[in-house]
Order: sequence, then structure tokens, then C-alpha cells
Amino acid sequence: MNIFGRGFDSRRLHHIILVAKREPVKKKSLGFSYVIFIVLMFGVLAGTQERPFLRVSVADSAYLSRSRNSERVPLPQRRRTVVIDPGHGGLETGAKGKFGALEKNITLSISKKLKAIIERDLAFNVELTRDKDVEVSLEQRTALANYHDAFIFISIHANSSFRKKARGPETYFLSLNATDRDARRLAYLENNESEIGDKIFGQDEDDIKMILWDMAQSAYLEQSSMLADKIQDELNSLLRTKNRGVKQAPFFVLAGVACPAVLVETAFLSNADEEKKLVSEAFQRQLAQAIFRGLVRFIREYSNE
Amino acid sequence: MSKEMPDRKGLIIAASLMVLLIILVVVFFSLGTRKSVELATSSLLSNPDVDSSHPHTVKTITLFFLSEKDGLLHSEERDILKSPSISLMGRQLVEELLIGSKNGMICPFPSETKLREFYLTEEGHAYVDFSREIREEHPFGSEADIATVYSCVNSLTHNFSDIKLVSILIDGRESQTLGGHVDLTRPFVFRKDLIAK
Ligand SMILES: [Zn+2]
Repeated sequence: MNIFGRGFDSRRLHHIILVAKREPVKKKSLGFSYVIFIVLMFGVLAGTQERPFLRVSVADSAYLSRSRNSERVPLPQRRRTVVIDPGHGGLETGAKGKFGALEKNITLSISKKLKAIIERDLAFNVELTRDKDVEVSLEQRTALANYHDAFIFISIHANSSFRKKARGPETYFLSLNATDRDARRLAYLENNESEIGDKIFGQDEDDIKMILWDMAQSAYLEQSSMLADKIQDELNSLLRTKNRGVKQAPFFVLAGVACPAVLVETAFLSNADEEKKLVSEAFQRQLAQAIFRGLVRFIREYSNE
Repeated sequence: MSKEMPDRKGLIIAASLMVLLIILVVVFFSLGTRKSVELATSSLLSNPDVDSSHPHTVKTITLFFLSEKDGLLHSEERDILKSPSISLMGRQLVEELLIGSKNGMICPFPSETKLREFYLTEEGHAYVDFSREIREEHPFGSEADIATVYSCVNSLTHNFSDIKLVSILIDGRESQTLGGHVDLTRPFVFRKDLIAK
């Protein structure tokens, strides 16, 4: 029996391991999926036990030390990690532009630029979920963020639509497919946060572990929404796009991340004009800078709360 | 002796006739009814002109297509055949969706996409199984992912209160995502914010 009673479909909650087993194309061994599972669980434990990144105190403004001003604030004992996720990779190319630009290349290029800016101007570690053209599963991307006890997770993509005229940047955070049952489950978790740790250790049941894993991002939706807001705002002023709000979607890569997490759709590859811009180094740098400014504003505001 | 023989013969013939009759009855009821139901439903589906003029056999549904202008889902009405089976009507709805808009809106499915199967559980969880073309010719962007999924999910849940959850399968199997973004492993619910006001 599971704690959420009859009718609760625990099968779904196993998707993270099951998908790895089911997809024959990726030829993942069972052992490998267990390694992923252990890494995932490590991340969840780290996230639910301490949640250090939930309490950003005034002292955290030290992270905003600017190296160029040479008055560096002494480093704290442990640097926090920002995880940047360049969308797609390898055979999984993502969207494709009319002139042949591939989403996977653009996302990697922007991500590397963003990493360089953060490392130059902020005292954070930056991890990329991939730094070359390889296929990385969505579970691995999520797991990497949790393994590093990430402070912030930013997934970088380029959009594509059935609409010919679609243009402009969009920043997303996770939407829950909240059925009544999910809402009750969520309320239970929110009200019993202290129990969560006990449950992970106290029970062998995989169900509970997977529920917690599954729900990881739901504890950070407010912060994720705020982060998305700041980034979208900066992208809007860069590209002079008006009336572009933050959006929500049930994106797989965000669901399990145990920290504020967003997915940035920089511009539309399905739009010929935007495709031309997206392949230019200058535009990619501008995008990275705008995302960076949004990130800094988020950290500032967060620190002052 | 000779007088008794025809009696016994008659008895054997009568008994075997009885057995044959029983077999025929069993065969008739086990196969015959199924066939007649199939015939009824297929004639219902293939001959819409027979009864569609009659208002009681038609249900007007609302489909949601993508608008070029605002990127939101806009409604379009369509008539399908009324049926006591929500599953049959759900299947018709998805097939109408795949035919596309008649008001110039965008059908957010690759043109070759077909509906393979449609199941509805007693709990109101619909499984819509699309052919693999849904993924092969897809734009692979987040916006396209969202449009495809919610055009289907919103159309089904808006028209049939009995359908509460919708899962999308591809080529008979559960897939992780459509174009690398939207999570297909968990069922979807109605999303009002994606529909134009
Ligand atoms: Zn993408």
C-alpha cells in the first residue's frame, strides 16, 4: 500500500527509471539506470534535508562579488553551483531552421557564453550538463543538477512553432498537471516537510522515494517563477519584445530539479529572421548577457527577502 | 431386433441433431452478437448521411486549433455522431482534429499523423495513441510541443466531462517527450490559460 491510498497510480512515478529501461534505442543497461537512480536519490536527499539554497541570507550577497572591481569578498567555504543545461545534443538535434541551423549547436554555444560570464563576474561554480555535442538523457540532466546541489538550474533552448510568424523569447517554469489527487498529495508534502526525510530513510518502498523525486520542483515553483520573470524581463528589454510574459509548461527536464529552475526559449528557429540572428556569435552573447542580468537580479532580490 | 434398430437409429440421429443444435446456438450467441455490434457501430460510423439530419444523432463539439495571430488555441465547432460510448465519440473528435481547421487555423499535428487507438478507462483516463508521424515531422520546439498536446487534451476534456485525464502514446508506446520538452509520461489535464478569451 502506498501512503496516498487507493487508486494512486504509483506506476507513473517510476517513469524516471522505467523510461530508461523501456527505450531500447539508448541501450541502457539495468545497472546504468540504477546508477542514475542512486545519483537522483543522492540529489533528493541533499535537497530535502538541508535545502541550503532556500535560505539565502544577507551573507549571500557576498556571492555577487565582482572580480573586475578587485575588491573581492572572501569566498565562503563552499561555492554554490549554477547548472546550465544546453538543450538537446548528439543525434537528438532539437529544432532545425530553414537554413539548416540546429538547435543543439545554438544552445551549447549560448550556454558556454553564459558559463563564462557567470564565472567571470560571480563567485559561483558553473556546471554544464554537456560541453560537447553528445546525447544526454533528460534524467541525467536533472540528476546532475541535484548531484551538485544546484543553486539555480537554467535550461537553454531555441524555439520552433507551427506558426510561421512566431518570434521572440519565452521563459518557462514548470506547470503541474494538478489533478485533485495531485493537489492533495502536494499539500500533504508541503505540510509534512519534516517527515519527508524520515520517510526516505524509514521506508524501503520505492514509491515514496519516487514521489518525492517526482515532486522535487513543486517545492520551488515560487522561486522559479520569480527567476523566470527576471530573465524574461531582461530578454524583453534586449529584444524590445513587449507583452511577453512568463509561461508555464510540464517540461520533463524541470520536474525533478530540486532548486529554482527555468527553461529559456531564446528565439524561434522556425522564423527565418530569428534563425539568422541565432547563429551569430554577437546575438548569442547578447542573449547570454541578458540571461545573466536576470540571474543577478534574482539573486539580489532573493537575498533581500 | 429388427424392429428396435430404427428406433435406436432415430434416437442417435435425434441426439446428434440436438448436439448440433446446441453447438449452433452457442456459436451464434458467442460470435453472432459480437459481429452484429461491430456491424452496427461500423455502419454508424461509415454511413453518417443515413441519420445525421436527425438532430438526436448529432453532437456538436468544440475543437481547439492553433491561431497564427496569438499562438493561443481558438475554438471551432464540428458535428460528430452521437453515441452512448464516450470512447467512440472521443475517437471521432481526435479524427476531426487531425482533419484540420475549416476556418484557416493551424492544425498543430504533422499532416501524416493518424490516430491508431483510443482507450478510455472507467476512471476517465483517456489514452490517445498517435502514429509515429506525430514525431517524425514535428517542429521539435517547445511551443509546437505545447500546441500539439493541448489542442488534443483541451478538446477532449472540454467536450466530455467524463474525460478527466489524457495521456498521449506514440505508436502504441509511452514516450518520454514529443520533441524533447513536454513530459508525456504523466497524464494531462485541461489548461484554460492556453485558450484565447
Ligand atoms: Zn528544445
